[in-house]
Amino acid sequence: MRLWRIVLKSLRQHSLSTGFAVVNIALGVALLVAVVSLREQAHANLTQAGVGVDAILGPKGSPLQIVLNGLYHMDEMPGKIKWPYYQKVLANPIVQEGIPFCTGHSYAGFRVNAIDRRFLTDFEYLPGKTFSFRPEDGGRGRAFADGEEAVAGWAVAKELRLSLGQTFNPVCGVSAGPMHKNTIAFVGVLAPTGTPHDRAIYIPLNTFYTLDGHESVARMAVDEQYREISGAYLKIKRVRGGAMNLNLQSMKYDINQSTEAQLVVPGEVLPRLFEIIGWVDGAFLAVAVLVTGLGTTCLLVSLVSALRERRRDIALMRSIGATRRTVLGLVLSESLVISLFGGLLGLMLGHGIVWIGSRYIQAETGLRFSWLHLSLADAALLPALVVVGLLAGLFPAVQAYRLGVLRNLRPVS
Amino acid sequence: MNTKSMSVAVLVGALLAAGIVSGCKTDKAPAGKEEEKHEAHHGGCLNAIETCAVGHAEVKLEGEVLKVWFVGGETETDKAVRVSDTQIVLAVTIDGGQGRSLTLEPRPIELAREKVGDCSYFEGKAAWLAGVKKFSAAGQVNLKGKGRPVRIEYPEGFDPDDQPASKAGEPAK
Amino acid sequence: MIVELKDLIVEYDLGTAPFTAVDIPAWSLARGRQAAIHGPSGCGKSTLLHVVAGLLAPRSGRVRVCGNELTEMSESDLDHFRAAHVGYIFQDFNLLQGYTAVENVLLGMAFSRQKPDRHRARELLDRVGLSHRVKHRPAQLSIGERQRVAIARALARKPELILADEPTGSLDPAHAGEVVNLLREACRQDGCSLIVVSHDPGVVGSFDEAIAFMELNRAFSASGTPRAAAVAAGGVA
Repeated sequence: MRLWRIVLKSLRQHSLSTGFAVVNIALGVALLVAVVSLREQAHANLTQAGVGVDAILGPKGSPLQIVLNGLYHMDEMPGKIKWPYYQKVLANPIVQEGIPFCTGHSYAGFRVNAIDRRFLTDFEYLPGKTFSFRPEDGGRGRAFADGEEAVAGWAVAKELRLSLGQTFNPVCGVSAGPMHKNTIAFVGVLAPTGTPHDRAIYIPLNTFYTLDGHESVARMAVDEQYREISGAYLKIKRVRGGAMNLNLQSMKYDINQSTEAQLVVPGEVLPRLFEIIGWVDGAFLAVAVLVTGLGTTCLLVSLVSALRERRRDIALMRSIGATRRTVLGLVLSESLVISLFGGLLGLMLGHGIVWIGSRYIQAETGLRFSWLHLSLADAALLPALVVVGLLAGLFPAVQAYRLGVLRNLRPVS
Repeated sequence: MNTKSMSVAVLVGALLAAGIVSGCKTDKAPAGKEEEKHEAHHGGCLNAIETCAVGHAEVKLEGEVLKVWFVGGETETDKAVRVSDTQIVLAVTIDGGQGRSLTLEPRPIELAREKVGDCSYFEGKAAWLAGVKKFSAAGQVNLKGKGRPVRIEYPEGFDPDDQPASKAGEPAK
Repeated sequence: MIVELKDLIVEYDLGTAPFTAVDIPAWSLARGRQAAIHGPSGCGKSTLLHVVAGLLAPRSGRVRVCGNELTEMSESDLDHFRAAHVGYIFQDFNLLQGYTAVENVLLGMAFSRQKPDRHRARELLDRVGLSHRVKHRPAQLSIGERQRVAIARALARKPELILADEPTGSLDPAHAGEVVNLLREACRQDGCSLIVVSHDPGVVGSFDEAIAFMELNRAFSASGTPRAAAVAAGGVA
């Protein structure tokens, strides 16, 4: 009989406590794996959503609010910017391109953003990646022309089961408000990007100014002196080697001294977003760690109680030639097997949680998560479980090591 | 399991959990939570005007051009403070040598709708500035409604709080 | 010689003063021989077997078994010694309850340097007449059958010496004779030496070399209270 069979046999003999310990460790590990994976992917997703945009020109107010509205289609812009001021910013030698937009409208719970047509053709939502309408990429139709036309993000089209030519009436406001009488037709659906841009509807800027009920702002369409925008995505000219132009900071300083606008660099603001949401995943992580700690304690308790039942067996093994070290190894191996088995189970369970969670999160935010994502928790799992197994097994193993043979060979009555 | 074994088991478990939690906490030291500090937003050096609370002159030397931004006090060094001067004359001393005069001209920030007489940014140009690594300068500026002395120590900056306590006229040790 | 004892003294600490349980000036057993040591319960027979098996360290004296000086060996070396040279049969069989008959026999091979041999384990069970009970657990076997499994397990590693401590203690006389004959025959076939300790004259009578333990053990005849020592030792029959 091989030693590993003795280990498995012993575990089978105490299947209830073994199973309990395995389940406890699996739950803790599953939580850890899921939380770390979701956290890492959320981080990557949110950061990624910002990397395609060098800077956002927005009204005065909270920079975070501008990023949330401009990039994640959440919250609201704190105000408007005058078109001439935007033009002045565009004239700065370091600005390569600007894409102005107006937010504040919605349809069926999705934001309706009025935006320059170049958004659909030139805008890089990720470095080097522009939107696609190609069917092979998952898109349909074409970019809007001026007029009452709209393009839907992939998630919008999927959720509302949109077909090209279908019309809608935008609502003033982001939740509820008066409905415009205009019937705007969907002429295109963007291929999926895995960014929050999948969850918005886009219409031409001029259409926005001339919407029914917008009589007071209608002249914005024709007179630039009156025209206002919510903000603009700015692309900054790169210096040699593709590095960010250092004068961006200088331009940001200059704009931020004005009372009309501010320049927000998403890469600088996003860390603050993580600070704000950080405590949530910190809390999840703490719970996961506590559950894993409890699982380890449970493992220790089950091993110690199993050892008490097995004193006579161990003494017998010693009497027929098992060395102290063999006995120590047997108990440690049991502990390792339980923790590794629990860990593997937890690993699968954790990725299962990510799989289920990702569907929900994608439906809510448009951010894409993969259940196959290998996180830090996955990488650290094996060595961590070996350590946990050894630590939990150490105390009972030493007890087994020190077990007196003759004293424990007496019949158990 | 006897009481002793049980207590040891629970203790080890608690220590394990605590260890893991504390380990995670160490990893999760939040970024950007460090103590607020004065920051030169143009990459220059900050020179307090009278005290750090009043305001700063951020100074940067680029070739023959000395750039000076007047900015806020304390941590508000990202906010411009406009001055009414239409030119500022600085007495510049290089390596303890003879002082030279440098005139700073206003360069209104157009995006902030500044203009001469209501401007936070000045530039001074002189051929002798080229290649200078270290200098001191003094002058006066009309800031926040009154004339105030400006003292510039380039490139380390000037902070009156860092100066050793000494009586007026006594050389600082 | 397979076993050589010289000036062997085994003491138990009773708390107040050490109690001498075994005091044997000299005794030996030739290789391949079978001996029965008999005496009343509590006289120190089992203690002697524990010393010969390396499970108990004497206070003084020389214990040479299978060419090994046990008193000079470390605990770990003694474990290896048992695994390599000695098969031990207990009065209460000491089978592992969660293991089948064949697994209990295989366990006898698990800690030696030999490869576990399931074929040999089955063959041994066949030799002790249990070929039909291979996959039964101890609880499903009769007392006599359990002792047969214990014999098969002791033989599993092809030991040079088998030590049997009251192997028939739990059996009725008819089965007792049968088991002892089986044990003796098995040892003869494998060429290993055998020491049986028993208080049963019926068992002892079948051995050519039968020794009264009191003749060997000066401590027993001197003290007059061997029972107390046995209780203190915990397990001395």
